[in-house]
Amino acid sequence: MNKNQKRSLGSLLIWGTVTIIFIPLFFIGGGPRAWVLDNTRFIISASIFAAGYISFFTMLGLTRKKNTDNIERDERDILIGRKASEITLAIVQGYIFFACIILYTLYDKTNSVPAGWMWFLGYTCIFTGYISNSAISLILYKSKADIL
Amino acid sequence: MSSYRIKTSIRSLRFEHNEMTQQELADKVKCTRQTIAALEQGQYSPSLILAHRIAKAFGKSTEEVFKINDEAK
Repeated sequence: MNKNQKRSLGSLLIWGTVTIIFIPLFFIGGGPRAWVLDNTRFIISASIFAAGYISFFTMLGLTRKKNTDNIERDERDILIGRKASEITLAIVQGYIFFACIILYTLYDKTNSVPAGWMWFLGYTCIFTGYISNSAISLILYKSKADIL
Repeated sequence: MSSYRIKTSIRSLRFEHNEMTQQELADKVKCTRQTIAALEQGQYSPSLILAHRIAKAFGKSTEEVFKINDEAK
């Protein structure tokens, strides 16, 4: 497993854990309307998000190139990174588009979308980006097909 | 529609060159060991520069190391 694979795996574990904690926390006890009014859950969510970023950057620091002569990133790694970013962009676009359409459909009659959903979209948009990018990178590294 | 597959003789060439390891070849051509493994398994098509470096490492021409199979689909 090279440095890029380790980083992808680390990122997947960190952001996967953050998502698994965040989603139930958001929906427990009333969903988006209650979430905005509940200061405790609001702060816990922000803390989990911050902890995710701290862990992520710590992981990047720990997997930084040490004094070694071996090449740690070459043209194939760059190509995999590019391909993963392209697919991630499409996934995030699709996620935001469909999430907005669903919210519109749900709240079309009431003419007001609870502000909590905006927070949910904001947080999960970042989670989706990190999780899909790292998962796709790992899939591309493990792929037996000549896809590159 | 046709697809191009690159077949390489890197594995046999490594063994002909004092059983050179993938890591040794990777260090010589400035890429990762994983890329050499992917090339040997036909899972990756190298850039022209990398193909040239690998061929040079074995003292061969690029055509001798890499063969393109044109498979009609």
